[in-house]
Amino acid sequence: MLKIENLNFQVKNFFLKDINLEIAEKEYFLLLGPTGSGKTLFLRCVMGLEKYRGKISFHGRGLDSLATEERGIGYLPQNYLLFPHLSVRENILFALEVKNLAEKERRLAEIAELLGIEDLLKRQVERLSGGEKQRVALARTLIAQPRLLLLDEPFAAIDVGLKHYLWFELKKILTRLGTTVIQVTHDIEEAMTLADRVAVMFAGKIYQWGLASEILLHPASLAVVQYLGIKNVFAGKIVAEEKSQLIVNCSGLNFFVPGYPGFSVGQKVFVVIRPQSVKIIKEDVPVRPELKNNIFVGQIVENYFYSDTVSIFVRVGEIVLELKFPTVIYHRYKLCLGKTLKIAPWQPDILLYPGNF
Amino acid sequence: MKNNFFPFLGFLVIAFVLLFFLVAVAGVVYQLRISPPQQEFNFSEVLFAIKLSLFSSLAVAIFSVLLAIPSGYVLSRYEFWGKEVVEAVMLLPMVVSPIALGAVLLMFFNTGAGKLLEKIFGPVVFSWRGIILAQLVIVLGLATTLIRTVFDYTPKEYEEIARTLGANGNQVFWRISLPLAKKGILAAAVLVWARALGEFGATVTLAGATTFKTETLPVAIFLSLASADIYQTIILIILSLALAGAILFLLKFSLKRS
Repeated sequence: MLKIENLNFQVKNFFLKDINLEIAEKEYFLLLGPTGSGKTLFLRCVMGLEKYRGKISFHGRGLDSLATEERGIGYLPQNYLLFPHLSVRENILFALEVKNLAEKERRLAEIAELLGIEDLLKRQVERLSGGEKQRVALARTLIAQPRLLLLDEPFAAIDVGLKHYLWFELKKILTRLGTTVIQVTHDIEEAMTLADRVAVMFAGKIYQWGLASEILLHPASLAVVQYLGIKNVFAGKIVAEEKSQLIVNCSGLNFFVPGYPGFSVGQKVFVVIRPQSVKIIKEDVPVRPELKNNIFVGQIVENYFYSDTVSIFVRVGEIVLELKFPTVIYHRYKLCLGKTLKIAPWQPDILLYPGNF
Repeated sequence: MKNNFFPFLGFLVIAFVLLFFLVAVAGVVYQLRISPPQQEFNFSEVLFAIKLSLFSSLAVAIFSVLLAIPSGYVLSRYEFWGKEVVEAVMLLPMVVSPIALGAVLLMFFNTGAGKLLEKIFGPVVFSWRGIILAQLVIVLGLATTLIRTVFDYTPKEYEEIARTLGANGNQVFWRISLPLAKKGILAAAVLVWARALGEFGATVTLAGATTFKTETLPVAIFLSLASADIYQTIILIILSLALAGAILFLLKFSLKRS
């Protein structure tokens, strides 16, 4: 297990603040955050490339007094950094050469077969494609069999189609090797797809960590909500409490939300609703109990089509709600701009945050 | 025209500089035609001067680059107390007059410490050792500054990756930093050699200007000019230009090959 306790680091005006994490053995852990949030700095501290304050231990063994080359942590940088003066073969064998480890040829053959790069061994690194460079860099890192592997945005420079294929290939290989992985990314979809658990980082601080589904469904703060790109954030006030639910008025609209503890009538709050949690009400379909308290009539004012989903924005009074669903539903319901329809957010999914406005 | 004024200005400056050199060289060739030799051309003396210049400058270039590699690497990669002072001292020989430096060395070898060194290593003042020492003092700072710049431009990230792969400081330097800096170090070595070859002020002050003893090519030019032998001076100048041209060609060739 990797244990990080009270990690603090400062460079110029940027701080990594009070980072505490525990990552289980063989776990595939994603550190998610925007560019400039401190993710790479965090990795550099774990590797011992920066002088940090705090404690880092791996399997009970303190790493703080160990130099980078003694920590046994593998690192795959964002731009792979294959040594330009060495061939592919020499790059991969580098770790074995410096540590004078035995059975170089056998280990080279094994890792080349695992990653499908036998044909690349005789090539020069400047002639490799992005995907080939990634696999060679991975081979170079894995041949030394690190028990902990740090991946810094490994798919940032890969085409989208290839990226989705490599997501699963990479995870399959690392799971098979039993390596504990910390992967850093700014791609929410990547994090939610690959991770056993995720930590969300902004401005050098971890705001939330846990299961990917937990972060998606229950973001710990408005900062995480905003980072996840949830636009349905409405300022309001709790006007009543009844039958273990709260009634929140937002710009004239009353939302029935679950009765979360710690909230009281008269309190200013933010109501947050994931776009996937807002449903279209069809007249010929019975309304589920979870929807019946929050049915609104509105008009479609915007729509945006993605590869297989669509976002529509529905104006209800002074509020505009975003809905997101498969494109096939849009066409099946014959939706279009200006169309009036009934919508309702799924009540158990409605989130509430204290408001200081 | 307005949008291309700056490039045009650049080409104009290049043309003027080339023209200046062509006119100067033409002037030298013209002087050669109109100046009769004052005395019999001393081929053996000129050959001695060329050999001494080449030997001393090459030895100094190799030695100064060997010293500059570790010191340049440290200056590039490490922060330490007094670093700015060290950097300033490295730059001093490029700023101070070479004759002044030669005079400092001459005065040093007049002290007890200097005399002791001469006892151990042999005569320095007015000898070939003085040539080497003078050239070394002049070019060592240049070599260190150039090679430090080479390491500054060698990405540190490769060294960090090497460390994550288990390489210690020594291994990082020999397997990564030095090979990546090879091309730049080679170019720096050629420039240092060229500077040592053309060194005059410190050399003539410390080692003197004795024919067939401490007469390098620049010293030979000085002696010929001092004795008003324009013919021999011009021959020596042409030889110097030819050597300089050969060195610069070697520089371009070595860069291209690397």
